[in-house]
Amino acid sequence: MKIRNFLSATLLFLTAACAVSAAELPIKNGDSIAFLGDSITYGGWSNPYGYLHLVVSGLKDAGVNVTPIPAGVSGHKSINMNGRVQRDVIAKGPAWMTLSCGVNDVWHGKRGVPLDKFKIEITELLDKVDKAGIKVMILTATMITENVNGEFNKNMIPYNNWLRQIAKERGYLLADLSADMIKIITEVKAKEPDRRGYILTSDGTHMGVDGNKMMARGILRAFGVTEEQIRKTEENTWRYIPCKSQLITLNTPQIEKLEKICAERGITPDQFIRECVGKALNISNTGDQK
Amino acid sequence: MKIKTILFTLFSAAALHLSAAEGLAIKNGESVAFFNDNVGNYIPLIKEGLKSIGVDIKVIHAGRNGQTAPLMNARVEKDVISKKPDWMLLSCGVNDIWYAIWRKDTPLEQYKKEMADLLLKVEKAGIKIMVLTPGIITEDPKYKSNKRLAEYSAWLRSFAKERGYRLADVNVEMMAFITNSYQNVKNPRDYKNKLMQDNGRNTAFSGDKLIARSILNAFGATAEQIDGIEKKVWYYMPAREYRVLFNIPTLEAAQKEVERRKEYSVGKFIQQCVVDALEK
Repeated sequence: MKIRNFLSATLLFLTAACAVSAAELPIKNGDSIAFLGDSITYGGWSNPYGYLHLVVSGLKDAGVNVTPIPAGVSGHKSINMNGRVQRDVIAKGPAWMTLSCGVNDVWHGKRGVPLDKFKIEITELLDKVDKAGIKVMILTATMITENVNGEFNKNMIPYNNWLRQIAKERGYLLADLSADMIKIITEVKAKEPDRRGYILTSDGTHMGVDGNKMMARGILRAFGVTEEQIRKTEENTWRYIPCKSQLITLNTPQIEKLEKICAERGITPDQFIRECVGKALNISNTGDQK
Repeated sequence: MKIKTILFTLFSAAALHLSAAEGLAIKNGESVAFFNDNVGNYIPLIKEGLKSIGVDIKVIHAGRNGQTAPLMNARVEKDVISKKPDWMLLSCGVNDIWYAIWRKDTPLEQYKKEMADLLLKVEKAGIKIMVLTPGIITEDPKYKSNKRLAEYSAWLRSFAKERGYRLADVNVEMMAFITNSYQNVKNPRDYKNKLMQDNGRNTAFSGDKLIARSILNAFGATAEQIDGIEKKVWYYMPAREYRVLFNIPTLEAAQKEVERRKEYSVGKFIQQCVVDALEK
């Protein structure tokens, strides 16, 4: 009787654990992910709403705690990334690596990297990573300008086709961010033909808030997180990440007071300012709460 | 009795202003064209500072960000001379040296030619001139561009002297400041009173104050007057902008509150929250 109870309790517990769905994901609790890339990946870490942060919080909500290893350097092409993959990725011993490469190879034109050379560099890079036993997810390169039919984006097509192909050949996970981005941009433009300004990026290439969300969604999906779970994360977590800036101008006595308070409490001016506004509005989660 | 006191106070205040303004080269009511190659964050400091000692000037903003000597020379007629100001304050040189992918730098010989041409045109139009030597690029005194800037400044200084212009020697003063700081703190990031913002190119509030002090000094203000202005006027002026990110729920709640009160914009509301919290 007692044993039966125990067993059924254990069974219940196990079923509950499975429901969180962590057990089904290829990425495990405690894994680390190196995010290798260019300025888009750099911005994905330097902005609080960057895609690296969103992926980490999205996985956490799905029951998997991971450690990010940011490895984005502005202006880098396949040849540069191949040159530093040993130092910036392999030496850090991550369980996973995501690769975001191709934008600068195409964008830099004559100073870029032609497709043949791109294939050689990336193949070499991936060989090294495979050999080190690091699991790989390929991200297709995102758009250069938000013009779907623009010259750069046309030139990008064969690069991305090859990335899809090698991911398939080698059995890597694939987050087809290029396809996701083109789909969203095309839909929004069809729906709002008069719309001005950028849709996903801040300058046509580098991701704004929505662009980072688009990238994180694609990566989470590729890791097997369900649409329902991603929607929950957006609603309950991403919505609370600070993402829109406001200017506050202070005079010298105010700055002196601010710096004194921050030093005493060990917080940043940004945190204090968000807290002031949160208190005035009775908002408990201003984005700094753990 | 009370009226007498008020009159006396008014009179003495006016007298104080008069005596304060007496030694100055710039007079009440004069107009000043600020012809600079940068944003000119120090302009309000000059305007408010002079006002507090009884010299109310009319500011003509002729500055434009990112400009070089040839570009400024090309537009001096339209943007300065045609406005007929009493004074022109010229500051140009940082962008002539600062590398940017979209423009060429200006070699020293060309810089001399363009600047001399510009200044002689203004002089001929009967406009009084003050020349500012260019500031600095990064707070590293050994930085190569700072060495070049010193050469450009040296020429500008001697030309101003030759022509009898007033001179605010910003370059020398900033270089002296960073050289001095550098002896104590090797890494510019660790400076307490940073002259420049983190990009190394735009002035921070300390840098703006240094430039404004230099200009007031060149107008003939005494060190005592300038210290007074710094303590009584600049201390309460907007000194730094904080660009802070907020999350959507906070901004939505702020928007609702603004609509309920029917008086603020979200930006003003947030500014007020912070000021209230700091001044309570």
